[in-house]
Amino acid sequence: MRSTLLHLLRHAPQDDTHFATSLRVIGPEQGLLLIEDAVYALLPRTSAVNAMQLLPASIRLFALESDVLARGLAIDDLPQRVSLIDYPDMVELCTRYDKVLSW
Amino acid sequence: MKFAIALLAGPQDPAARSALMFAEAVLAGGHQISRLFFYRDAVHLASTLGVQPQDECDLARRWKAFINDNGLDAVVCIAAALRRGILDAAEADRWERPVANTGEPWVLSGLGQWVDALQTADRAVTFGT
Amino acid sequence: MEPDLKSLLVISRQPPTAIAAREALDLALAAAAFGVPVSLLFMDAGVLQLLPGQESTLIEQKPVASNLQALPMFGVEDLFVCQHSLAERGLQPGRFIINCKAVDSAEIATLLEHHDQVVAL
Repeated sequence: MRSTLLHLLRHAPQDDTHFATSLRVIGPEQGLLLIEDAVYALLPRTSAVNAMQLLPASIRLFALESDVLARGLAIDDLPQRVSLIDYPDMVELCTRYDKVLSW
Repeated sequence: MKFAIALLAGPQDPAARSALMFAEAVLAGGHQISRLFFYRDAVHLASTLGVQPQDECDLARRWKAFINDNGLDAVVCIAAALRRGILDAAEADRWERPVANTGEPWVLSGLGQWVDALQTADRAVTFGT
Repeated sequence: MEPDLKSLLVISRQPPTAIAAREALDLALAAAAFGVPVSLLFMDAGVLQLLPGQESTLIEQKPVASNLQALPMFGVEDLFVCQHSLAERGLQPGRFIINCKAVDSAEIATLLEHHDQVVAL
């Protein structure tokens, strides 16, 4: 049976292969949530943020707002398609997708 | 919904806090936590011996309080714990070590407990991979 | 076997020298012992576990080969290896410690969709 999947990323794309790997295998209708150092994927003008922008529009992108702000990323610079969420939202997201894969 | 939450990274990793914040939000959202499973360096959270500077967040203490306050099932992988010197009274006795540094509410047990949690929960979320 | 068991895909991503490589196998074996339908996917540095001729005892490590070869005996028969990860390391499928089906990114996406739970170690 086909099911929906939320990819949970926590490593910075600059230091680790998890980011590239998950982008390679992510399917349409799936979601991508950046937490901890994975929010560095949102640094402007990086290949990571460009790669995320190129994902099909059916893939929803999320980032944990506290992790974004804690690392000094400017909210104004973030791509519009990235939704900033808090922990209660993250719980709700996990219930909306059939399963969660942590890379 | 029933959530199973696994944590694989230790107290010094941001994942130890992320997992706790998530677990608190799960309960606050009206869901249940069927099991917490602590694996790899996360077993250090079960140690009673860590001393944190007063102005820093003491995650081991906060996890313990969270587990106690909510009567949660908190399983620490026994193989990972023994490797890292996290022993309850029974294991300290069994391996003839001079001190036990963990105990209730933490329970030392095997990987099968994670498999069981994956099977019985509606959602399984892993932190600290 | 109970029909309502949830299938599990374990993604093994660590090189054979990392304890985590063994932990991924342990999880797969523990699940198989419960009768859970388990598949194993070697990906990223995890594909290096499959190379023959590892004399890991020279660095005082238990060889991962015997654990790998035990997988089918314990009922873990769906073994996959990521083609992209092999190519990145100049490796080709075949001549590995155990037989794995090479899968491309689209096939991995399908594997992720078709298992009830996925754990990457």
